[in-house]
Amino acid sequence: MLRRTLLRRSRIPVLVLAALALAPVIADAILVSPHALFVTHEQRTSEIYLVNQGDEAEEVTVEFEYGYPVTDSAGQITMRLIPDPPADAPSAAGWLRAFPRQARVEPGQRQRVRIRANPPADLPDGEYWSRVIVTSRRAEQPVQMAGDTAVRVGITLQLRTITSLTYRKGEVSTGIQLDDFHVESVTADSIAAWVGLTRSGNGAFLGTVLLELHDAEGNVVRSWPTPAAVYYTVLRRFALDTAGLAPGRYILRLLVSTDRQDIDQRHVLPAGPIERTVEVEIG
Amino acid sequence: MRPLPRALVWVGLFTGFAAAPLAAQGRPLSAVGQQDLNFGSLIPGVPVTVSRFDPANAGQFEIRGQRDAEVQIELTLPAHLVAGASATLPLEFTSADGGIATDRTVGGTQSFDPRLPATVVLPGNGKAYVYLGGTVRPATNQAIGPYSATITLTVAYTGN
Repeated sequence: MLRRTLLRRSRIPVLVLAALALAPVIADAILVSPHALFVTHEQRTSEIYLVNQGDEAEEVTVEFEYGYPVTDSAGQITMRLIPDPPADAPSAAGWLRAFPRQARVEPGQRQRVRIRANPPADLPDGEYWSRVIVTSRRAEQPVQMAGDTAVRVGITLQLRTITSLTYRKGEVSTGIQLDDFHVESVTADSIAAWVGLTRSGNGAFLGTVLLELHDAEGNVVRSWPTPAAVYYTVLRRFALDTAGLAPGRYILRLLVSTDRQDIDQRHVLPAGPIERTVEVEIG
Repeated sequence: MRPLPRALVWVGLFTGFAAAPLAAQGRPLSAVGQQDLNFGSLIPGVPVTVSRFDPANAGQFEIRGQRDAEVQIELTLPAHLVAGASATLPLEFTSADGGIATDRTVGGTQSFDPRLPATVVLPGNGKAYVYLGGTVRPATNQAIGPYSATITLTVAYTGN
């Protein structure tokens, strides 16, 4: 009787698939620190910290994958992950291990993860790269009861934080070459500028691309610093917001340098700066 | 390990309490889910669209990181929710369903296609906000049951 009633109820064009909430998004992420890890061949070990800032336990996994930022034909930058890199790629991903690789991190806790490198014995001098991919998901999955229709809906939210790992052996150097710097367009409220860079040496260039707009008196009226990493070659398009500036002639200054506020300077390979200017007219 | 209050965790991060490597470099990157993407009640056969400008129902994330840093945001979105072995509930996202703001403007001041990666430059307070809308299309004979799926949000600094 009860079964029949339930069947009959479920066949009714149910007024409501009630409370169908895509409920993934109430999880807090795991904070991963540091966001750029540097390991030397002499040390071969390092560590990251996973901090659960949320109110619920998180299941966390740590993986390694070869990859680096690249630009597309529109000048936009994206992170390219290469699960199966070619044999000659300077990938460290295949010989890195995390301990633990999986962990449950309770709210407010921090979990130390030790990273150990086991490179091949004949590893040549140079710099080797990997991305550290930390995936976290709520330990208990959200499940919602949907009123008298008994529809239950839950979506799991996964949050992935990708950070960098740089492994250095022996002599490592870098340099940067400017391939292109030109203004594509100037409108009343924006400037589109392209910057092309190629690094030299055997290490990635880590630095800052600073674009500044100077007025006729030489005062800096706008500034756009962008942390930049050049692993091979990038050709970036910068859209610069100039809204509110008075019409007139300005100088757009480009400075590419190894200045970084977010990375310990001891880890930043030295390279000579590049400076260029171009005149633009706004309005 | 005893849980630490969130505020204490942050204090620890920036004073070297937690660990020396945490203080030696810039602010770590993290993302926080702030609000469900909520489609409310569904009627079989009637699609429901949630706008990213809907303050009560749009999905909302907060990105936290280093000021002036550029962050890539990528959402991995399912095509449908699944119930049991075979029942599915279509889930759609269009190029207008993603929004980014650096000032909590609901829906975002800059639209992006949530099916493609996007980047945002973090402002002085190191925070940006991502909004997500979408559409579900229950069939007229949509089966009752528990539907589930996974959305993955990936964040990465582009400057490392």
